[in-house]
Amino acid sequence: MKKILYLFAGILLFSACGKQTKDNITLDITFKSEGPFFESSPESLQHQLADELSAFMKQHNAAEANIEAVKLISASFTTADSAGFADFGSLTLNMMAGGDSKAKEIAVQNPLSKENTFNAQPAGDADLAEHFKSKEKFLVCDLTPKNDRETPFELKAKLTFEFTFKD
Amino acid sequence: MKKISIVLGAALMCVLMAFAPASGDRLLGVWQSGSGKAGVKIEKIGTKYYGKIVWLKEPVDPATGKPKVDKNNPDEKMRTVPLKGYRILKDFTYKDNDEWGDGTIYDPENGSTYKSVIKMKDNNTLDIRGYIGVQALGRTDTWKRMKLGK
Repeated sequence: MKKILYLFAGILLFSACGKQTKDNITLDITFKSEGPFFESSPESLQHQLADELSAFMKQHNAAEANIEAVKLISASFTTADSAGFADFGSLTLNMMAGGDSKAKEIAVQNPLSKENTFNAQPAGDADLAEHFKSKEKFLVCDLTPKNDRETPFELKAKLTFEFTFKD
Repeated sequence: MKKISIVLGAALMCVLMAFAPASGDRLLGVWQSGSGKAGVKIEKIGTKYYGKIVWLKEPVDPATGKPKVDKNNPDEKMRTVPLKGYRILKDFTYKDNDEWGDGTIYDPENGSTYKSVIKMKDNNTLDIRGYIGVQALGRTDTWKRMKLGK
């Protein structure tokens, strides 16, 4: 009888811990800079995340407090620029947010090929849960120009994040 | 007449205050580290301040003949991030009395990140303290504002 009680208590405790669910979201982000770009100075292109996550959060019936972990699992970049990425030597993607979160480098490609599209290497250990819980969050794309360039530059990023939610 | 002068004076003060940079924004600009090895541009993203390397005295790694990368990053997958453009100062918020806190400073020479506070001694001089745990256990480096065209 005692054993059954312990077993029952164990099951109760386990179910009280809540369950986790995982799902991926892919964000399409456009980064733009009017230039000019100088070979001597790295350039930062910013995008502030606003409503991109609202439908996804609604679908999971989740609030920011339910976010347990977030990880970038893939990052691909494309440009329609006629020169491709030939004017740039490297790209680093960062995430910054308000509150207590700390800025993190989340993907890198160095060197860049001259092609119009590439997949960057996501960071191995960057948990972005605190960033996505924050109201103010930014993606910042650092480009290192290889040459001076007068004209604007635009690139599109397709970023897939794995979210873990807790009940 | 006296009343008009007071009103005009107050209006002038308001205009001057509107165009003056917010206290915390006095940190913005390009600064040279105490060793003279790097120039760091401090910029504001959202409500926080960040400093990225924009100039290196020795930009090329003699071992590879290529631009230096963050080869000591604790995350192996991020060891190809170029040092030029790397944000070594992160997440500073303006406190008061010419002091910015809650930030971190990264030392690319050993891949370590330290808690950090910045104190502006005068408009062209910063004391940047990196520490572990408590501020008393740390080291302070003095940075100078770099002039354009240098």
